[in-house]
Amino acid sequence: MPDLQKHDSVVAFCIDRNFLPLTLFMIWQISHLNPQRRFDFLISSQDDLEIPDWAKPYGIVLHRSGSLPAFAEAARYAGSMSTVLRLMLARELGDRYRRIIYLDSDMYVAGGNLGRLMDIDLGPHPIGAVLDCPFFIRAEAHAEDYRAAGLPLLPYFNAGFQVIDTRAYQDQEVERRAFDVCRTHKSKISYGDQTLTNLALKGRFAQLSPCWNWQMDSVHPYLAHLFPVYHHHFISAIKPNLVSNGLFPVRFNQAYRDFFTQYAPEALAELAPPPKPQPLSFKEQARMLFDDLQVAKIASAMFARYPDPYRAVL
Amino acid sequence: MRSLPCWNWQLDHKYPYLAHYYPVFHHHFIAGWKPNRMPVWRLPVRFNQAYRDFMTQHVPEAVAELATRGMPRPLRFGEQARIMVDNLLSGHVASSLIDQYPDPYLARL
Repeated sequence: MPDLQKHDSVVAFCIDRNFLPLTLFMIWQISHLNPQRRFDFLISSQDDLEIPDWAKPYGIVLHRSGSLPAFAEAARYAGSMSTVLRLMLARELGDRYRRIIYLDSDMYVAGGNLGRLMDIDLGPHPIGAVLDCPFFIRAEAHAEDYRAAGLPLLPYFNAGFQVIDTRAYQDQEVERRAFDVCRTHKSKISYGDQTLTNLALKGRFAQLSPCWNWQMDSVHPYLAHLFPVYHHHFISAIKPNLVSNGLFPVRFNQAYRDFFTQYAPEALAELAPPPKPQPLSFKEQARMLFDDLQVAKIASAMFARYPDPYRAVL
Repeated sequence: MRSLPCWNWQLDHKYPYLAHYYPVFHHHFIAGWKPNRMPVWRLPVRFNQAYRDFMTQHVPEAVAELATRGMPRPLRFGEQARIMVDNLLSGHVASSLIDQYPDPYLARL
């Protein structure tokens, strides 16, 4: 057992080499916010990765993920299979870790105590996760994957942030059931392993507060003005590190720029230039006002539904 | 020497959207509008939350002094409209001010 594994819970990422700088950015943020952390960091990959010297004190465990079954190719998402690797985490790491918090690497960490979240009550569920963004836009959101599978309206989660109970995950054979979807689902697998896991669990997961996986920044940058967000998740292809013309506050792009300048200068070339430093236009503000008004009632109900970030709806 | 606004941004309590596209390095909570002292709806709750996270971990005796947050909620239409009008009225002034300091590491002498 490598010396780097010191705790019984872990914050894990599944990436290919292209996402290493973004992952290190998140680990750097989480370490800063959790100076007395009681969990390990782990990066699972099929690529050969090297942790830079400055990040070695974080004790990041590099895990070589096992091979995926050939039929899992159907779940390739955005050209990559790396997120599908997370389906195997509980089996591959379950003998060492009782809990895993899996994170996508396109997030900005603003707060929250992940050590405390590791102990959240998930009830009988193998996974705790946050509802997907359409649930914050429409009162009766019927997930595209459920519609395609002929399933009724059920809770559907965004897979970018998951609290995984490794024993429950293995006992309930979530990995096998998820991979089975590759062979049984008649429609296209639209969202990679997110589609697989949701179709396997069919709404049976512990619902976490949206503060852990806030997906609304690209369209509603001020919806969380009075709602404390811990993890901003830049879903879709419009991300503050990739585009300059999104509606994101520039502080996200600036944070990437500051970090890359100090720790990953090779990644600066890939970073989108910052938007022109000018006030929001009338059109942008009017659009934000209108868009927020449309979802205000639903957002209000969502905020009220999760009064405690460390208590899940079971 | 004139200081650059990104190093001492004093407008959060009145124009919370004004620095949307302007990278601020130091937010200065001037006068009585301080997120650790009183809940001010124009100030994003992330400032209060950052104090809360820090004090909880490092200075627990100071948590009692920290302003309590209001209930999490979206901004009301009237509140957002007021911010928008204020931004539009002052936007051109801010714009020309920001234009005077294109480089945070270059002062006007």
